[in-house]
Amino acid sequence: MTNLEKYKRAFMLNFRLKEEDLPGLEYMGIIQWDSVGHMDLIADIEAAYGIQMDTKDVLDLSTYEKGIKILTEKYGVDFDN
Amino acid sequence: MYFFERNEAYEDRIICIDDEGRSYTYRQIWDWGDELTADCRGVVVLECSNDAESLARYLALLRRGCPVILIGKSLDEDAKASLRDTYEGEYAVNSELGLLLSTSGSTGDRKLVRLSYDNIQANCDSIVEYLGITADERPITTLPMEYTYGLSVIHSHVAAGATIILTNRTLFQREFWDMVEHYKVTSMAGVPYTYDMLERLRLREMDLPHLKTLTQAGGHLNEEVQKKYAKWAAETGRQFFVMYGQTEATARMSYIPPEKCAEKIGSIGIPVPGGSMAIAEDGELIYFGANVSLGYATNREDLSLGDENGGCLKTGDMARMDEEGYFYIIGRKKRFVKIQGRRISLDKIQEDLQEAFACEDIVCTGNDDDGITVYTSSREVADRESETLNLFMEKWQVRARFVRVYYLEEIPRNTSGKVLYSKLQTIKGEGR
Repeated sequence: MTNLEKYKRAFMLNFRLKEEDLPGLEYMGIIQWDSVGHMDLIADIEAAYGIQMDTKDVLDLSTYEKGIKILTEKYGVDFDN
Repeated sequence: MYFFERNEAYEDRIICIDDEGRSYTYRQIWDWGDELTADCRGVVVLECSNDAESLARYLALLRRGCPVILIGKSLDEDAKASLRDTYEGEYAVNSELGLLLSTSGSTGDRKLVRLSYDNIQANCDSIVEYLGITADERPITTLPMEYTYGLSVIHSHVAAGATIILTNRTLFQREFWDMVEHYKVTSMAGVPYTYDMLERLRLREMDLPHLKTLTQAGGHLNEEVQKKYAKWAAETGRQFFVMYGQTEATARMSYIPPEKCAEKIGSIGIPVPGGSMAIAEDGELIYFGANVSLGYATNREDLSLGDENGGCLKTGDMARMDEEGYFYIIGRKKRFVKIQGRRISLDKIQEDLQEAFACEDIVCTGNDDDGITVYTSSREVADRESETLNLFMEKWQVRARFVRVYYLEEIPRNTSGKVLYSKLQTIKGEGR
């Protein structure tokens, strides 16, 4: 599985969504992505890449796109592979 | 004097600061509320969120003697309409009746708990006393206003003339923590899952010198987490209160004094001031106090009923007491679970599922730690697991990770056809 696939999978499984629902997704924008959903999402992302995210980044990961940016820039996750 | 009445001593104090950073004095909120509710008569359904307008309206309705049914904005439209149709309007009600709350939080159950003005005041007085709330407190809202525990935070701080930081933001929003810092927040309340979030955010490592008090209620807190917070609080000069309550007792019934917290892990503590507790012969925990509700309502005629409880509440929880008078919950008498701080009736879910799938062979069991297990002896229903999980999310706001669906060849029943739930607890069906 590529890093992008892992990332998408975390959203799709947690929020019971299809791939095409992911772009533009925002925290609190859908009923599933509430604070409990956020906690589960972060746990799955951390497990997928074997990382531990800082509190600041846990708060900043508030859209589908921002997550990719944070993981690329701060945790060295390569989304092109 | 009731806490919601105009109290001259507080009129120039700040009652709340909202998400836009606006602050309001007690007098401004009283005046605004009177203006907003000038045409209100009889029973009013109030849709609230954690903002100044909701607070103004709510306090004014209490002052006007209009019984209030508090509901959240996120409640689905059908449930809102059903509550309005059932209860709203001017008709004869018990003159003591001040507030009606749903026990299930967000499921929009038409069954409500009837609370009197004296109930609310009595619980408010107890809380102010055992938490030692003064006018210098600045709590931030972490729970919805229509939820009994969230509402009790508001009541008790208004009673003390304190300043409430009213926010609809969540713990996972940066702006929430900016408010905590900027307004020098002194206390926070949380249900068990709030503490999971606080752990995830590493609250105990944050530099928040003004935050002095944390409270917890709404279900059994993981004992490891309780230990960590008790220790942290003791080491950093803070107070951590573990508490127990129910909507049927307005909000709170017992608490662990913070200095005893590390020693009494797993306990629900001792009765709040003015209350007392006993264990019935069958093991059920009974609470006595002026905060015990008048009873339930399921239709508008019920609002004229008197006090059916007489200050005595059968909690539905089974308990034991230690030699120092601390109580411990050891089980449930009734079939319900608490998930994410909300009480969910297993029988209600079971009925709804049977109806949704037009199938009698569906039963539910569950517990607070593992969530809900659905057993079915219908292959078809078992195969439609995904639909079941979506139903849980949409109808009861219970997410998939708290739900399991199992197929069973046969649901255990006694000779008269009653489901043997105790047998189910030990069965592991064919899982997913």
